[in-house]
Amino acid sequence: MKTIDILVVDDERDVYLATKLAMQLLEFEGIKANVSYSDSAASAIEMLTSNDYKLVFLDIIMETIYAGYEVISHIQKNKPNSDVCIFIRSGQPGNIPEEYLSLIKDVDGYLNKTDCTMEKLHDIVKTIA
Amino acid sequence: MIATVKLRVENEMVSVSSTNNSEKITDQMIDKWQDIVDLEQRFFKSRAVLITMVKKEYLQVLLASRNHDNPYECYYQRPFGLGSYCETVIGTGKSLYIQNANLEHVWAKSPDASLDMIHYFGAPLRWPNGDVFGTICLLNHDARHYSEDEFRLFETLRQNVEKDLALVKKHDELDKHYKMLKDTRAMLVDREKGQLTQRLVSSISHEISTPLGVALTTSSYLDYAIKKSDQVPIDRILEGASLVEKNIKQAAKMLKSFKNLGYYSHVETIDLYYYTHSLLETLSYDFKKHKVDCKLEIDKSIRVRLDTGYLSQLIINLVLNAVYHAFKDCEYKLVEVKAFTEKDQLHLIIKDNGIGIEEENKVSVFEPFVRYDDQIEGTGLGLTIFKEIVEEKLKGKLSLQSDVNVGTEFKIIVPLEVSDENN
Repeated sequence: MKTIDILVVDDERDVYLATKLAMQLLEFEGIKANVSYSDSAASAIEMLTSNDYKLVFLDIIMETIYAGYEVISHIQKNKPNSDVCIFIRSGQPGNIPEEYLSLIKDVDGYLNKTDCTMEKLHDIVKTIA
Repeated sequence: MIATVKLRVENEMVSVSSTNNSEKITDQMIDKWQDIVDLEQRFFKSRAVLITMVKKEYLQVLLASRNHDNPYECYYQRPFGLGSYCETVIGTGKSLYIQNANLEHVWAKSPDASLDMIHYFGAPLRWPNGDVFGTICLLNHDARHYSEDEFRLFETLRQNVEKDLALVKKHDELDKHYKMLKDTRAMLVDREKGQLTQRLVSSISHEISTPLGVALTTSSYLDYAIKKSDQVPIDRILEGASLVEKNIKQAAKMLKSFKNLGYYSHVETIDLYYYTHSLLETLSYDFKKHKVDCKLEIDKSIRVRLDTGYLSQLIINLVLNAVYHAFKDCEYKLVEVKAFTEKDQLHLIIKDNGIGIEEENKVSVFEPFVRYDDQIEGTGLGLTIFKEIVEEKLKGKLSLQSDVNVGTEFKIIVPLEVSDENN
């Protein structure tokens, strides 16, 4: 069985709980997903420093309106060679402020929160794992 | 309007442009003009001194000197086309001096000469744009000479009346501009309300996407998990079901609070704490964006009956005003919302620890278009709308307390509708 370490970054804990539930069903398809959670950019940066995640589902508006971009910026600066996949999962995809535009090349995808069916999440994990 | 008058000497009809704004002439002016004609009558020893006014098809005596032997009265009207003295003055735009109509064949049969008014001296009265208003004239039953000074006096008094006409015109224009300004202001207020709604729509649509997204992920999970229920532990399915329920409820709550934001007048009984709390939740996007902390201090037992359509506008308006305008580089930004009831009155306090309002600006802060920082977007109408809501819609009172670099506090006292439950 393949194993994948996933980090969910969102200030709403239920997003993590839902993701974790959805990921557990991947076991039927031979993928064991370890889902971790952080509720802010600051704690996400901490967790990314000490762990190697393969996939990050990242909210943008958390403790500040652009908190999510701080996480990407941190990965870019401190782990330039990391092969982590970043999926932005926010309520308002798009409208990226200019100062963060350079960061999007490291973003692997955008998910609108209201489009996040389990199938979509599974597809992402399956292509990465 | 165009008036067509007959020039008696030339025996031809001419059209002149005329304006009639007599309803705009003030009583004070009329009194003053009456004094002028009375004074002239005594001074020139005339039989009649008149101020006339052009109407569409006739000339009307606006004011007549009040000597008992004056054959003319106010409101006396004479149709155009008879070739009276005044018609010539109006048609030529020049003064007319007929020393003795009986000696000038063409004037001997004129309408006024038939009234035995064989002497006439009159001059036109005009609006500033050149349009004819009417005439001012002296009439007499015998021939008259005037000295140079008498002519000059007559002209001075005539100019005096024309200056009043210019004032009437100015006043009229000011009135129109004022009305236009009022209309424009009303339009801008509507626009500001629209902008506020837009901002809230974007805020709420962001906030609501989280619970909806969670519900979507989980329900699609449940669909699959239930099909495989022989392999998925039941407690996980139950966990999923309650997650869906919780988040759908959360979304519904947000939707409800958004509905409360509609600009509709709507009287209802509410739990003030929970109502205000859900209102402030819809603004969490704005709080985060501006790194503002918000504290709510309302006793959870307070139930009030009032117009929540206006209450929500009030709270949103003031809180957003604080979020957007109260702070510059303040380290810790705090907005506090407090409320309590006292004798069928609701006291609502919205307080910030921001830059404050300068003493000299406190009076003008509620005036439309007053803005103290051009760097910040806004129409300068937020607080104007707020004042309008408090005073006109909720029949309440408001006060402002502010100290520079300490903060600003808006206090609103509004009468409550007597609650059904309390009856």
